[in-house]
Amino acid sequence: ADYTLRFAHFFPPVAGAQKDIFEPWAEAIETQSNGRIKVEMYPSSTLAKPPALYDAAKNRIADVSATVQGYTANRFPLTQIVELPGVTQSAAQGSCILQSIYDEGFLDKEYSDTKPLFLFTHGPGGIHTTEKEVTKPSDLEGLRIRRPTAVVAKILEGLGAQPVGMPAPSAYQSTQRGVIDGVSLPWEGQYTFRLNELTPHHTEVGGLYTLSFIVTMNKSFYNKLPADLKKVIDDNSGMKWSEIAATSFDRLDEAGRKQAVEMGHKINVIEGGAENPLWKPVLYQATEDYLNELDKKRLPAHKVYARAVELGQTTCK
Amino acid sequence: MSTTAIGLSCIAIMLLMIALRAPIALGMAAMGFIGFGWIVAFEPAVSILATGPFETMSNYSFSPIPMFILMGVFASKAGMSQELFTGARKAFGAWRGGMALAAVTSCGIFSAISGSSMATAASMSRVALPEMEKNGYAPTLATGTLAAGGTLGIMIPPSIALLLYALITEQSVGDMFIAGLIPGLLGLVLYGLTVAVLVTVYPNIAKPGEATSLKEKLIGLKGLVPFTGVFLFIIGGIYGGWFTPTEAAAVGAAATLVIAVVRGMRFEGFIDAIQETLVMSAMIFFMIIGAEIFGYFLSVSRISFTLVDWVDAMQLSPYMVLFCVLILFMVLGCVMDSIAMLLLTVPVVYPLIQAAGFDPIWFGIIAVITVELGLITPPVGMNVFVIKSVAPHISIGQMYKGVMPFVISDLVRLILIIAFPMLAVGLL
Amino acid sequence: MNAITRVFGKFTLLMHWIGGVFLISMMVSTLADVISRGLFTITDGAIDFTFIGGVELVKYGLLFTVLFVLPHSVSRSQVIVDLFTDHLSDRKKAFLEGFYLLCFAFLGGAMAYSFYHLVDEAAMSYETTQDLLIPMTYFYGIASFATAMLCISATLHALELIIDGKADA
Ligand code: NA
Ligand code: NA
Repeated sequence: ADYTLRFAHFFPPVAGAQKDIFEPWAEAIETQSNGRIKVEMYPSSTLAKPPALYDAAKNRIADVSATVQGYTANRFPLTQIVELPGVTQSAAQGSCILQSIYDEGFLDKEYSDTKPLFLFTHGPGGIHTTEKEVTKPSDLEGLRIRRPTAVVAKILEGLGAQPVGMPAPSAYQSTQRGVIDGVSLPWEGQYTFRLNELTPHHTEVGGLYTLSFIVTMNKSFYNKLPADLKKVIDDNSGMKWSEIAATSFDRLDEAGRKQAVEMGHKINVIEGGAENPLWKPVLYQATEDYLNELDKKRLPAHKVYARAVELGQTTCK
Repeated sequence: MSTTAIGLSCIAIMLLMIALRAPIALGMAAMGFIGFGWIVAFEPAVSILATGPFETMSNYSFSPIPMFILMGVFASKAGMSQELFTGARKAFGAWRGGMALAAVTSCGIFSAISGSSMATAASMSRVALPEMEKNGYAPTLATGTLAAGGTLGIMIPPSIALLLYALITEQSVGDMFIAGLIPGLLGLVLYGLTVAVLVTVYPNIAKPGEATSLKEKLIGLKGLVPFTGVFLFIIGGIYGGWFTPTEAAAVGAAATLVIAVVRGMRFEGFIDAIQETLVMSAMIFFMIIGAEIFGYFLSVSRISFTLVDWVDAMQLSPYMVLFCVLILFMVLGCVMDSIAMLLLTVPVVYPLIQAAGFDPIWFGIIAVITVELGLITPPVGMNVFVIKSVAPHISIGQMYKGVMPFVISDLVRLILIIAFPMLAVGLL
Repeated sequence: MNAITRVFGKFTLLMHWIGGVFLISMMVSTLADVISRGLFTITDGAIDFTFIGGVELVKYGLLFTVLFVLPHSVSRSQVIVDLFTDHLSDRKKAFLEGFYLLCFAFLGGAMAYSFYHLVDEAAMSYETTQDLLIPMTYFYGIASFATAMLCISATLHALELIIDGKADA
């Protein structure tokens, strides 16, 4: 091979993301470049820890990395608008919105230091608890709930819970030891990280929150490629792969929910989801606070939010 | 040059540097940096020098390391090791070699609140070695017992080595600790048997102690109280859901601090304890940082993958793979420090072990026992060095001679655990 | 030269003890977290001293403990294998030790440079910690400072060893 491409991410090698998204992407690159680009996979954070993955691609420690933007707090504030309540109902919809906003140039400033290939989101995040059933916000009072990013922390805090930040792979042990009373995760996460074993109570609040992911490339790696290989990378960027990723996450959501049902768990479905009158005021407030904070920093937060909502009702419905 | 060739040459240069007195941490950091730069490019190599150590030093999972050391040092300052040894001595009363048995037992019990072998060996030898010498024990037996007994610190939980293994291989730290319990106790029993055999075969190396009454024996048991207290407090706290295993180290250190203060440790002693902990932590963290930088290089050299392919091609049976790995550990253990060895070798050989289909937790126990052997084998046995620093008048040669029977006892334990994996994973 | 080394040695010793303070702070903040959580559970939420960011306090406590201890320890707390070089003269041993300290100095300098860049980058991206939302610039800044001290400390000790041939500091 003329070029070796090091692809780093934090998912285990057996995870759906590796099997359904990253490996097929690598195969596509290798085949379409006629073997001139060879992709080396570095799963399980072997080349960089989750919070350092984005910088790994920036500093060429890896040539491509896949990560959660929110693992570096405050760095991708406009991107994380898609994580806010009510914006999306599924991985397909969320990924479409996020990729479109990016394609329309709203997020260019946040990614000026790398070459983003594609962006996506996971499905709707829910609340999963060990002992206390959650049917209304006040049930969350004083519960210690694991959360993925600072944006989700704000939402949970607004609901009265005590958010505890930790990466998804640590959630199992903390729950088992009773350090936390529950987790916020999509069904996919419940499945991948075996949380269904520990949390018999589930609450689905349609559109509660989501999480954004990015697969991005080192700029100089891309710039050094000859035109025909650049085209191979370009052909495997954008909406097409965002959709493939979303399909995988939506499928895993189904698997995770099915698993819980088979285990005989109680699933509380909040009617109307984030629009439910009991939940909406709190969630609306968290959203407003977040957007206002960004506005104060002179970021076009409300504009991006409006566009995200609009996309969700039109192109990405 | 192929990536594999670069990888192997960098590893060779690193070993050469270490043989030429380079600090182990430096060998790893320097060759990790150069190797990564060689394979990838030097600009990113400079950036891993910052991001790698930063991730390591701010890794919450590493926070118990200084706390486990602190706990042991406070216990030592509180006179807990002295009391423990005195109590155990009374319990064994008039037995020939009773004091050596008391030393081994005390090491085992002390291990329950000490995460480091060297700390265990240091604390117990300060207390037990002078007494054994005074009572006419042969220096070989006295030092051998303590050097070996100290290694229990690494197997009986809590343990820095088991913690590091769990972190490297992404196993649960709690499970690792539970799995270490029976092998640790087994080690204790086998060391005790070794002492018994030795004093039977060579009666002149130990004298019988003073006979003690049952009452004295029972009073002696009070030395166990603070240990049992702290230990139960930690275990109870973890299983009662009051704190996590990671937090347990800090809670345990605080509890031991309280005992030390109640028992008259003053500011000076406190400062001493902090100083001792900082020195030992610095030693370990230098190596962890070096290993982290080296780890980036190992990843991009893809040596582990190549190794797995080679082993595949040779079609070795799983037990043959295990045998080769253990031989490698024993050879390296002769000249390397145990923590450095775990940090260096586990990332490379773990994929082999996984591919061979072995239980990762069971292998962790085997690996740690083997690595721990390195602490007492010549020419570089850290535990022996620790005891040398307590008793400069005894020659290193005599110490290594004294330690040999315990090396055999450790090999027996290793074979038992390989033959009966239940000994390690049975409690899980 | 020796005067500079002595004064600088005092300074790194001071840093070492600041590292000791951070060591204790790790213990104290864990205790505070555990106790406040325990009280909350026992009283069913009536007594609520719980706070956010306990894990982060410990994390960065460890970071500062290690960072501040490094400059003083670089020439002291090292594990060395002296199996094959035991027969060397003290002068040669000192020279080797000095050479390796220079290597440490180089790595320390590169680390300081690299951290210095991270300060800039973190300032531009506004990145903060997850729970307490402290700007990352502070952490990178202090890391840059501490590793620069590591570099100077290693250099001074190395020169001493190579020039004076003094075996132990
Ligand atoms: Na121990
Ligand atoms: Na050895």
